[in-house]
Amino acid sequence: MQSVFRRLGIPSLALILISGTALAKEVDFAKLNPAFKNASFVNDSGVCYGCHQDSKKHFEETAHAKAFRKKVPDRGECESCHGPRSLHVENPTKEHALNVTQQASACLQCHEGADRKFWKSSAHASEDVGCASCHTVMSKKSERNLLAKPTERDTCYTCHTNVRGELNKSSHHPVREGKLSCSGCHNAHGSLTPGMLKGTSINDTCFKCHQEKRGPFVWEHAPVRENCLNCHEAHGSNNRKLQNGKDSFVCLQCHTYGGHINLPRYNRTSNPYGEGCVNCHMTIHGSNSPSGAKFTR
Amino acid sequence: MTTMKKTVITALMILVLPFSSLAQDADRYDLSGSVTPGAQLTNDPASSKFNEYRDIEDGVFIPGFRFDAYDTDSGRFLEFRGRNAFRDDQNFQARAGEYGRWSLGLEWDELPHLLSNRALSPYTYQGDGSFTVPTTVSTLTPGFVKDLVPSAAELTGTNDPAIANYLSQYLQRTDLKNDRKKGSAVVEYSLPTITDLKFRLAFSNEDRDGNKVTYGPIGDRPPRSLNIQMPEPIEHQTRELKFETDYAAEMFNASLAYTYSDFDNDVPSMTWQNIYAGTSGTEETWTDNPPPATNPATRNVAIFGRRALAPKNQSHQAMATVGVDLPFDSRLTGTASFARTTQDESLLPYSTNATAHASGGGVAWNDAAKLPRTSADAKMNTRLYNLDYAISPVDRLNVRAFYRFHDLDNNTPMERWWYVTGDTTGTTGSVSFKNKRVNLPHAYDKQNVGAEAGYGLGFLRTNVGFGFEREDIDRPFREANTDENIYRVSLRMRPLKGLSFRTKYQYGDREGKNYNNNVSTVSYWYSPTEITDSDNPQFTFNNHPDTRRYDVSDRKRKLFDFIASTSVLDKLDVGASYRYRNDNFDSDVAPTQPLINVDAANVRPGATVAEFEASRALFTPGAQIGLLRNIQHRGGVDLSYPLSERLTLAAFGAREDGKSLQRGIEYNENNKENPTNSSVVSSELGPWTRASSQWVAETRDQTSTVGIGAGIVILPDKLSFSTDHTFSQGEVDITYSGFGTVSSLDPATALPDNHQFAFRTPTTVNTIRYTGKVGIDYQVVRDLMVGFGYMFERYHLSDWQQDPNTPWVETVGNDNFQRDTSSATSTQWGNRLPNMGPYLAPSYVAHVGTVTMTYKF
Repeated sequence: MQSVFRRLGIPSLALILISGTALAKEVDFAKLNPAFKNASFVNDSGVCYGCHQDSKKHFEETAHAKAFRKKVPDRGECESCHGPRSLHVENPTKEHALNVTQQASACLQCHEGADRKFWKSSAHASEDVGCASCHTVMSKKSERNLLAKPTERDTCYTCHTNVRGELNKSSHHPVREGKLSCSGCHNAHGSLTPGMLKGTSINDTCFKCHQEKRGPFVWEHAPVRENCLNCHEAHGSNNRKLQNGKDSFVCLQCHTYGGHINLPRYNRTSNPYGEGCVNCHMTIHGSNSPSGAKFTR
Repeated sequence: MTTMKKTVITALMILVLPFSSLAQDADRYDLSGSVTPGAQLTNDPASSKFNEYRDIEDGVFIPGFRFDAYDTDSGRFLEFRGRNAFRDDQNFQARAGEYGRWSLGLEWDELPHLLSNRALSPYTYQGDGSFTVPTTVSTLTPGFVKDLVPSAAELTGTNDPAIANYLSQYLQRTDLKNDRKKGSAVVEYSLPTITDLKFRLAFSNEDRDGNKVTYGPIGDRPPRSLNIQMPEPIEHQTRELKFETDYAAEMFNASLAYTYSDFDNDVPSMTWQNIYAGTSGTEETWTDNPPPATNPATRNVAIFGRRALAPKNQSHQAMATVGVDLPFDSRLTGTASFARTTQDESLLPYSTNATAHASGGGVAWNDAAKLPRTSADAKMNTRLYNLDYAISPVDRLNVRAFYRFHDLDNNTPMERWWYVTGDTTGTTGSVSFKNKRVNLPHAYDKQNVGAEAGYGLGFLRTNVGFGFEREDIDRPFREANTDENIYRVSLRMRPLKGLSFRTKYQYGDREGKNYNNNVSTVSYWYSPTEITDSDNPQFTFNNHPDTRRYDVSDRKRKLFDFIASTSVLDKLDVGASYRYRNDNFDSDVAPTQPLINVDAANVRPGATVAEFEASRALFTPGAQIGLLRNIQHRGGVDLSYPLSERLTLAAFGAREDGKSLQRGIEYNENNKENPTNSSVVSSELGPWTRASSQWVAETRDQTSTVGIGAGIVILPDKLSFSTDHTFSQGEVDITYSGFGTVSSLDPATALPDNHQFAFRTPTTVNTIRYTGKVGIDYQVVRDLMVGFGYMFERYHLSDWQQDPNTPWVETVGNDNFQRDTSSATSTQWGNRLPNMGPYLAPSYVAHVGTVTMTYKF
C-alpha cells in the first residue's frame, strides 16, 4: 500500500501542485469589463498616485500596502486589483470601473480558499453583495480586516438593521458588549449551512461554545438534538435564556400530555413561578442520569 | 488554567521582545502604538444585569493599548492589542508574521457571565459537586410532619411556617456567576515555493468555572416533589485543535480540515442535601397518606439528591472541499464531511437511596449493578455531502443547482431502564411504577435539492431570480417525517448610483407525513403482568391526539425580505431592512378515536371493560393543539451622516412585532382509557374529549429600539465631543382565554384565582433599557490625550413569572419561599418552591464616570 502511494500518490500530488503553480491565478480583466480589451499594464504605481494622491495616504495605512511593499505583485500595487490602466492613463474616465461582482474576482486572486471557499455559492454573492460592500480595501477604518465600519457588528448592521434591535433585547448573546462578533457564528464569505453559519448545522454552530450540550446523551430530547432554534432565538429575546416563548409556553407548543403538563397552572406543580416546567425538568437538553427519562434528573 | 495563562502571556512577551530594541533603526521599522490607562467610578448598581457580560467597576484599569511594528525590509510585522486589562472581561491579542507567508496569532479572552449578586440559598458548596446545609428543617423543627401527602393543616399550619423560619435563619448570599477564560494560538503558513498552498493550525483551551441556576427535586412525581432552587456547579474545560490546508490554483481549489474538540467536566455530578429530611443515613421513612392503591403507605426518602451533570464528550470532524472551474463559465464545488461524537461517562446509580427489594433483583437503588450498563456508550456519526454547481450559460443568466445530504446517525445503544422518577422509593423496594423506559437514540437525515436562476434584465441593473428547493427530513422515533417544497422569487435593482434594493419572497409548503401520535410507544416497556400504568401509550396515547408538534407538523411559510441602501444624498448613508415571516401550522386535524386499535383485554385494572368499550364511541374535539400560528415583522433603519469634517451624525431604529397563537387542553391523564368514567366526567379536570377544557394563548412580543449618536470636533486636533444614546423596550403580552379563565364544566362560570386550575391573562412583561453616553477628548500635547466619559444606564424589568406575589403565587413568611394560592392544593409539596429570590437580576440605575489618558507613540 505504502509503495503504491509512493509510486502514484506523491507524483500525482506533485503534479497537481506544480500545475497549479504554473497556472498562477490571474484575472482576465477584459472578460470582466470589455473596456480593458486593449489596455496594458503600466506597472508603475507612481503614475496612479500622480492623480490619486489622497488615496495613497489612506492606502499606506492598510495591511495591503504593507503586504505589497514586501511582495510586489506582478502587476504592481494598483493594477493588481484595478486592472491594466494604460487606457485610463491616456483618458481618465470611469469606463474601467468594476462592479461589485467583478471586484470580487479581483480580490479572489489572492483571497480565494480558506474561509472564502464557498464565496461563489454564498447568499451574499448571489444577492450582489461584494467584497467592497463590507470592506474598504483602500483605507483602514477598522482595527482588523479593513472593514467599512469601525467594528464588525456595525458593518453587518448596515444591511441587517433588524439584528441590531434583536441584540439590544434583554436576553442576548454578548455582541453589543463586544465579547462576541457576528463572525463567531456566521461566515459572511459563504458556508455550507443556511444562514451562512460556520458549523455544518445550526446545532454544530451552537456547540462551538456550548459543548456541554453536545452529548450525545443517554436520554435525548428530539427537538433539541435536531435544532436549537426550535426553542431559542439566536440573536436576542424578550424572554429569559434566549427562549422563543415565555417559560412554560415554550414547552406547551409541543407537549399536551395531560394533567400538569398542560399548564398554565396545575395545583401539583410550581409552574407559574420560577422557570415553569424547567423547575423540575431541568435537564431538557439531554440527560445522562439513568432516571433521566423525563429530564427531571 | 494558570499554566495556560502563563504560557500565553510568556509567548506574547517573546513576540514583543525582538522589536523592543529596534526603535533606533527608524528608517527600517515602522513602530507605533498607544496605551490608555484609566479609572472608573460607579454608583455600584445592585443588579447583576448591569455587569452581565462585562466588568465595569470602581478602580484603575487599562481600557486599551496597541503596539504595531513593521519591518519594511523583511515584511515582518507584529501587532499587540489589549482591552480592559485587569478587568474580568480583559482581552489580549498578539499577531506576528510576514505578510502573505506566515503568521502566529495568540489570544487571551475572558468573558464573565454574571447571573445574580443577590441570590440566597441555604446551601454551602463543599466542592466536587457536593452541597450541604448546616441543618435541616425537620431537625430545626421537631413538629415537622414527614408525610409526602400531608393534610392541609399539617402542610400549611406546621410545615410551611417551619420552612419559612428555616430559610430566614439559614439563607446566605450565593453569587451566581460563571466565567470563561480562553487561550488560543493560530499558526498560518504558506510554502515559500508554492504560495497557493496554505496551512493553518489552531489550538484553544477554554475553562468555564462558576455556577448557574438549577433545581434539586427529591421525591416522586409532582405531588410529592420536594423541590428547591439552587446553584449548579460548573467546572468545564474544552480543548480544541484544528488543522486546515488550502490549495488554490487557476482552475480549482481544494481544502482539507480536521477538528478535534474535547469537552471535560471536573464535576460530573452534583449531590444536594435534602433540607426537609434528617441528616443521617442514606434514606428515611416518610408516610404517604392516603396511599395510592398500587403504592405502599410509606416511602423511603433520600437524604441526598443526586444527578449527573454535563458529561465529558469528544468530537472529531474531517472535511474535504474541492472546487473546480468547468467549461461554459461554470464551477462545481463538492464537500464531504464526517464527524464522530462520543460520550462514555460512567453512569450514576438510579438513586442515593440504599433501599433494596427482591422485586428489583435484590439490588439496592444506589448500586450501579442495577443499571443495564455502567457507562453511557453514546456515539453519534454525522455525514454531510454537499454539491454546488453554478453556471453562466449565456450573458446575464446565472444558474445554480445544489444538493445537500446531512445525516445524523445516533448509535447509542437502546436499553430498558427502571422508571425511577425520584429519589424516593416505596419501603418495599419498588419504585412508583413497575414499567421501564427505553432510551431512544434520536437522529435524522436531511436532504435538500434545488436550483435557482437569476437573470439581468439589462436596465437599471435589474436582476430577477427564481428558485425551487425540496427538503426531505426523515426521523426515526419522531411523530412524522417532513417534506417541504420551497419556492422563491427575487428582484434586485440599482436604479441609481448609490441606491439599491433587494427583495425576496419565499413560499414553503411543508407536510408532516403520516403524523403518528403514538410514536413514543417504543420508549415504554411493560411486563405483560404489570400493566398498571395509564401512562402506557401502547394502550392509550401519550400526547393528546389533537396535538401536532410544530417542528414536524404541516407548515405553510410565507417569507418576505427587503433590504435597501442608499447614499444618493452626499455622504448620507441609509440602510433599511424589513422581514415578514408567517408560519401557519394548520394540519387539518379532525376528531379521532385514539382507542380504536387497543385490545380491550389489555385494559389496565381500574378501568372496566364496559367503560373502555363505551369510551371507544368517543372522539377528540378535533381542534389542533400546540403552536398554530407564528407571525413576525422585523424592520430597521440605519443612518450615518458625516455632515462635515467636524460633525458626524448617526441614528438607527428597529421595530419587531411578533404574534403567536397556541392552543392547549387540560385533561385527566389518569383516565385516558376511560373518559366516560363518571367521576372524571363530573370533575373540572375532565376527559380528553371535552372541548371546553381547551385554552388559547396569543402571545404578542414587541420590541422597539432607537439610537442616536453624534461626534463633534470642537477644536481640530485639540478638543472633541461625542455622545450616543440607545433606548430599547420589549414587551411580552399573553392574552389567555378558555379553560382556566372559565370552568370546563360550565364555560359561563369564571374560575376564581384561588382555584387550582385558574389562570388568566397575566400582566405584560416589560423590559426597558436606556443607555446614554457622553465623552470629551482633549489633546494636551501632541501625543497625549485625556478623556472624560460619563454613562447613564437605566434598566427596568417587570415579569409576572419572577414576581413573588401574583394571583397564582404567594410568599410564605419569606420572599424565598413561594407556594400556589390554590385553596384546594395545600396538601401538595410540588406547588411549593424554596428559591433563591425573586428577580435574581433586577432593575437598576447606573452612573459611570471614566477618566482616561492616552499616550501615543
